[in-house]
Amino acid sequence: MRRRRYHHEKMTSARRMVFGAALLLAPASARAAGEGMSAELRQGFAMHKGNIVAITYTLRPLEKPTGGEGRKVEDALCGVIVDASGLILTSGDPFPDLGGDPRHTLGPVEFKVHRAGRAPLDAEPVGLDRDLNLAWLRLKSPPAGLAALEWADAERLEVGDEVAVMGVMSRNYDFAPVIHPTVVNAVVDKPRRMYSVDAHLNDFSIGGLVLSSRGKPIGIIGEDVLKERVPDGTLPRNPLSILGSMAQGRRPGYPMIFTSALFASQLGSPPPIEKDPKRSWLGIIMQPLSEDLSAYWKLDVEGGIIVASVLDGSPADKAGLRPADILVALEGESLRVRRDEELPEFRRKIERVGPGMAVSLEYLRQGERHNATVTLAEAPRTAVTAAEREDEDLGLIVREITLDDIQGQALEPGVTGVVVAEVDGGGWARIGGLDADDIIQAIGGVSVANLEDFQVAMDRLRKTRPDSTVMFVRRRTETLFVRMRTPWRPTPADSSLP
Amino acid sequence: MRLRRRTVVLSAAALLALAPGYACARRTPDAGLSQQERIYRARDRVLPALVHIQPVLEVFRQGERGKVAVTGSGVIFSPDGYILTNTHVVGRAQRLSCTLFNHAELEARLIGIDPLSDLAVIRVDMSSAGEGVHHAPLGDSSRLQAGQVVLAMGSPLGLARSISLGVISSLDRYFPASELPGGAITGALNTWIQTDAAINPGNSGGPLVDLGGNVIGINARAIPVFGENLGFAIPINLAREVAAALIAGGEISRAWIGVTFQQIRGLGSHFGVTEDRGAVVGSVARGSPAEQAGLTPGDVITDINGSSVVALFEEDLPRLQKMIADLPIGQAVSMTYMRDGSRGDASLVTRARPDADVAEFECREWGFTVSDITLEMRRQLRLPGDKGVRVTGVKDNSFAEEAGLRPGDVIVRLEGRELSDLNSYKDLYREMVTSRRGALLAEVRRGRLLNFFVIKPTYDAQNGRTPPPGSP
Repeated sequence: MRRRRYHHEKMTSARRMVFGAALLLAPASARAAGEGMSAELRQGFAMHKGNIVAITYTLRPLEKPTGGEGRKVEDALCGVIVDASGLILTSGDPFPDLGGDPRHTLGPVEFKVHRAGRAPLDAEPVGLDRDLNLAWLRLKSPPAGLAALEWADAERLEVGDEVAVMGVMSRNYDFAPVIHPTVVNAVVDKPRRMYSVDAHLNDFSIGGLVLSSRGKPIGIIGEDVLKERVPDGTLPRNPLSILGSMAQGRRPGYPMIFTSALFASQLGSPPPIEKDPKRSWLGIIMQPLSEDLSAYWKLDVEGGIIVASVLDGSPADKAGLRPADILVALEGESLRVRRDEELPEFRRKIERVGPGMAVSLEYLRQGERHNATVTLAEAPRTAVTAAEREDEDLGLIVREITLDDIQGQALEPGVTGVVVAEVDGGGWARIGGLDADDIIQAIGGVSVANLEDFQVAMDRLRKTRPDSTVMFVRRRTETLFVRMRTPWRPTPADSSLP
Repeated sequence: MRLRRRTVVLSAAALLALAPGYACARRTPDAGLSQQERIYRARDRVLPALVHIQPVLEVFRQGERGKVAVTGSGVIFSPDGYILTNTHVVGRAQRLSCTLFNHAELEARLIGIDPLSDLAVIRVDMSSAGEGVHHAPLGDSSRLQAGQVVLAMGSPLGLARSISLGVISSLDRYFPASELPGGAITGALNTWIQTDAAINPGNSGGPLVDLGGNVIGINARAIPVFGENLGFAIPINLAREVAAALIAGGEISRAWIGVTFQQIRGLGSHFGVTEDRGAVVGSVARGSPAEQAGLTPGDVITDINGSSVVALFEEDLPRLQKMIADLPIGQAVSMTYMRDGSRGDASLVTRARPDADVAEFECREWGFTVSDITLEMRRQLRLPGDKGVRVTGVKDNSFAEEAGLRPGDVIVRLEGRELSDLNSYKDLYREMVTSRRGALLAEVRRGRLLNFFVIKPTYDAQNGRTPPPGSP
């Protein structure tokens, strides 16, 4: 059911598009056609084609965006099995930068590793080097017979040196291994030594293996990502990276040879993947202090934020803030907030401080200036980030009750249950009359206070397999019992009728 | 379920007959009459009592008060000129222009409305009615049959003196209670007579008539958008009772205990009771008599004041709701219930059903409308406290819109002064307008939020609208 909620689309990552654009502007290749690859390259290809894999994954929003379920994008790149334990080196391309808006940032899940002619294998990310933009995956059940790569000493390459890039062909061709003989056409030293190659690499070469002219592995094709982020909604200065603005949380990059010297030290222990930093909050609902309000109250300030509500038990509550207080400075800096559009910047500033950290706030109460030091807490989950649970037998998805439910539906604090996030169009829950936003408080006489209770109640149903069950539901201001049939009702085929 | 959502209360009206009168009609033998002859006879008995009503309704839309002329129907049911119709036709009328069968035009006087049943009684002076007009006899809606031939009479889409023919499609169609424009709960006391006789907007309040020429229902609803030939009438026995009470007292008080019931069939076994009697308590309102008496959702009520309660199907719920509404107000009621397999007794004291209809007021100079807040609204919106007025509409390009007010906001203070109700608000508004106050601070509750807005009227623009850009 959940799958149907997403649009499936095949998207080439922005960085790769940039690469494509760059190649179109590059001078035509000057490499002369030869009489075929050298025997060493042929041998290198035969030796290492078993180490070349395609990696497919699904990109999903880190948080579902408001008012929608978000995109689902399938993407693929190339990778190299580096040892017999199933460790795989590839590009960090699928992983978004930290700190983006999680509703608009896509992150990778469901990694599958494909070797030509064999069943795909599950893999999980185990390491990420954001500086080099390299990622490490590990096969969950590595098959026998994987060969460790033996990296050749990283020799210094020069422009004109012959190399070969090994990658894979597309899914249509069963991810067949492919080799592109080419030459080094640029050497750069900043921010590290890297080599550009003169080849029109297809999509599935990034993360691929680079062989020396002798057919020995010397590195991989990585992507050097630019330092600047593309500002939201604005075009970057570099015309080559215009497409980079299409994907938030991603920076444009160029494919380069990363020789093994750059990552050799990580082979034993890949660098851990840092989590997105925890975001902090104050726990207030805000209204901008408009010019009109300032003038009405005769306030000599450049702007401010009116506290419209203080959530019970939040940092603001503990610091004694109250509705109608007007925040005028954060960390000694005046808040120049006059309009709604200026509120998110303040919220982001607070989010970035981090849970457990203190901020100083200056506020007006009844015209008097006060100071407060507020120790921020971790921002709680919202309806869009709330943990969900799906039940396919009855055809519904429920989620935990969040503070914004309590705020938005004016529920009394402390209300328990699970919120119906979605009912499947043809499921038993829908047929029984359950609606989205209903709050389920009991199932079959078992009280449901949270997602765990929901699971327990549903597991019990699956065990006892009743023909029908009754849910106790809160719908707006009323409660009611919703009776629904279950998929466990005996069908005519089960009966003993002749 | 699907049907319920599509239910639309017609915006125009029809009328209905209820009282004594024309008793002789019932004695007329049907033997020997063809169906066509019986249709003519029914026509002749009821059509002269038919009333085409053109009420001028006061409407509040998008922050403005306005007037709109609509069309509805009604039926004279007594020799002294009482007319049955719908609350949704005449409830908010400022004038009631009626055109009788003989084209005589009269103003009617409002006798009373009953939003809960959507019935209303108005009256015309029969001495001014002229020739040919007489009242129609009321029948007995407890003796109807599905399939019985009926006539609907009224003014569909304003086409006066229309007759349509059909049968009774169903005698006990159930709709959950809904809301009239203005927020009053309606339709909770009866199941509906469904007919395929054509009923359109404008038929509201008009009579559904049997072939004996007796009014057996008041047409009130249709499903015009997704359905065809789906009209619904309020049974005349309920209308007769309501009309008598309205004529006697002008209004009807009803008892309230704060329980929403659900049918026992399909649910009872889950509460460990047999499914042949009782009704399930689905919801208990906070602070209600039922809550104070300790009733809780899931209780199965089996007896009220010693009488068995039987709500096997949802069609049985309106009867139970009416039984409770008819209880004396402020008196103790005993209830027997089953809970977790054991019997229990509760005693509760009924209260008058809270008034759901509210007055609205236009703040013309500022560009929005407000209303009082009923207890029901407070409950629905979970508003704390008991102060304030509710913004019901905000005019486009008005000072109020510019300030940021939105429909649904509750203004709790204006210029620092607390607003206890609509009257205190009106006084303050007039005072501010008279003194041409140029900047007003409104303290507003929006859900659980407290917001502040400054309204800056100039008093020289049209009806609270901000001057267009570039104007002096």
